[in-house]
Amino acid sequence: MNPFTNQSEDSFPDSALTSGMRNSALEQLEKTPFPVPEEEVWKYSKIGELDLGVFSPSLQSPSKEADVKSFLDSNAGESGLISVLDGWITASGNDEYYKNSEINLGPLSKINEELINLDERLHKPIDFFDCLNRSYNPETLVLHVPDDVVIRDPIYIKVQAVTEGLVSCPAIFIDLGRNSEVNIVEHHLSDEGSYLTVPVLNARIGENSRLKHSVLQSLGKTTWQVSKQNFYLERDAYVETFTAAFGGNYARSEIRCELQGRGAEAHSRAAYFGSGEQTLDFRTFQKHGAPDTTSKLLFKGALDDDSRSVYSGLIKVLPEAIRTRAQQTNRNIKLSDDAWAESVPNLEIETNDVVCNHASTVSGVDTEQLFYLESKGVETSIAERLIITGFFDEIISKLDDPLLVEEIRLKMLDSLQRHSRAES
Amino acid sequence: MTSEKVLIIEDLCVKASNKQVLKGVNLEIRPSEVHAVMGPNGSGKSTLAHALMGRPGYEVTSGSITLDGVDLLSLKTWERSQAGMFIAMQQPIEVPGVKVSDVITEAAVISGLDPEKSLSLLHAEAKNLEIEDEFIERELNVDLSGGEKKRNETLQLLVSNSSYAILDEIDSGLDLDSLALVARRIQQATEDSQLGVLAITHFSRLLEILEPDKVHVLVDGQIVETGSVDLASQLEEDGYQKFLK
Repeated sequence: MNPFTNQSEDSFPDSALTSGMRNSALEQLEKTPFPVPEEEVWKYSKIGELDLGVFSPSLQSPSKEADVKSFLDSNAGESGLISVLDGWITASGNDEYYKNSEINLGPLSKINEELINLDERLHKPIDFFDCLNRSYNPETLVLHVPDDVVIRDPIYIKVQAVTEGLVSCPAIFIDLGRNSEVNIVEHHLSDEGSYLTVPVLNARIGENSRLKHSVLQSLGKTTWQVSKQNFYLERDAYVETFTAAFGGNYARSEIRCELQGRGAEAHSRAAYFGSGEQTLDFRTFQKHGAPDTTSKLLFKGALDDDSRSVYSGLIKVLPEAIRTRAQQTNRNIKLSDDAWAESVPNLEIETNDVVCNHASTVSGVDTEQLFYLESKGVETSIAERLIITGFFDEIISKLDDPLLVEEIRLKMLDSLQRHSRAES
Repeated sequence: MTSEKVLIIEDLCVKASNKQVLKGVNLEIRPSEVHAVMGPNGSGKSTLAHALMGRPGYEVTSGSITLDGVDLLSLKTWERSQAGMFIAMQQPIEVPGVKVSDVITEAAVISGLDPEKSLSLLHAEAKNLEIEDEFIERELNVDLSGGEKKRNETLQLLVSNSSYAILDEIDSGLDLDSLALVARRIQQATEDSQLGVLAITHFSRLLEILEPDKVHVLVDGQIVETGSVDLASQLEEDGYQKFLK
């Protein structure tokens, strides 16, 4: 029997508005078929191996955290740590900090619904996992930044899957007014065990506002994840999205940037390191819907052992989006003969007067670079380590949060050391 | 028993891109000696340099290379470097995201040297070569001019504590002042640290400062004549015509 039916709606802290949204999502979910690998958007994925029947929805807030450490645990700064367990918001940062600040952060029930106009601003679910998230997300975490408010300190969110056999459906909604600025860092983690996480982030970036959003994904090696991030940019809005992916059995990130206002600008970067039998799957959509918009995407990955990666991206330029500038680059280094990387960049341009380009590569470690470093006295495995960390440097060096940078460097080093040990 | 300090190349034959490029090269270089190798394009000069360092794509088909009694051909590239060989490449490879200081640090650690000392030496030598400090933190050979790349190679040589340096057209890309500066520092190293040098070049200007003990003419994979520094200036005037069949 499908455990994902609407019997569970009483479990969640709904208002009339969210209850209505949940019910229509549940109805849609029942009508939406589970995806199959034959569909273009699921090509190369492992979706055929996911048995949803072994998972149940998370209907109550778990009583304890996962037995895994996060770099944020002792470092969340003045704003405090926001914690989401199995999709439930269990901590909303430092109350004092938020009382004195002009931003509104917390579960939707504590935010004035009219303030954010969620109903209108959240876009309709478009596929099975959208519907699943909206049906079973306990409560949306809302971050609302009013006009002219600039928050420089990063806001840290720890998102964990803690109860085996459950689907967790965290939902975050970021709403930036005009001329505002905020920087968000999410850490997604889970223990070893059977988990499915379906996080959805929606962000509206108002006129002339700036959002920096980073995710470090270090899920356990048996966790499945299908994650979605949707960024909607108004006039002259600016977003920088970043994903570092290390964990998961099958971890998929769909990242959508819709440039809806003139002059909007989106930068998307990702660094991923696959090992063991993992599949890391990225689907991106850069949609230009207004003139003078810019989007730049750079995804780089290293694949070790039998791991696989998929990059599939589309740049779409609508007829009205004249003077669009768009770039899409995906580069992969295979560290083992059995690793596999698929890279599929796409352009769909419906107007002239645009500058768009895309590029993708899959190769081994550059033997010329290796020779150069070795000829200067650097041992092979260390030369390889320098080349790989150098390869990612183009992305990591753009991050301005030292905590996040340090954690990513440590994770890279750890993966590379495991690689060298396996080689020797 | 301690071996005599000498780099011996004996009857070296090397294939590259399926073609026999070197056809029996013999050379002996002792500490502090400077040997120049000149020759027309395609005669095998760079192949000799690459084969000495074990670059992939260069297959030694026969002959031997011995460094102070050690069989160099049995060593990997990094082991050859650690054994005392250095190559200043004609076209140094770009390694994005990796800095000169990273290379110096890692190489020092492998040699059992104090990386801090190597790094201060790096800064001191950079000063000698009139290289800005910020250069040391730049990505290796990325967006550098030809001259900057060559000065960077020289900088690494001077910090490396090597016994023998192969200079593959170190003079190309350098302006006259920089060339003089680089050549003087290398010449000084032949005196101060008994550096042996194998300089591949087309021009006698480098040799005026390096003062080679011997000048060899390499034609079609073999050394066809060996002479003093005067041979270099003669070659620059007359070309290689008389050596070509």
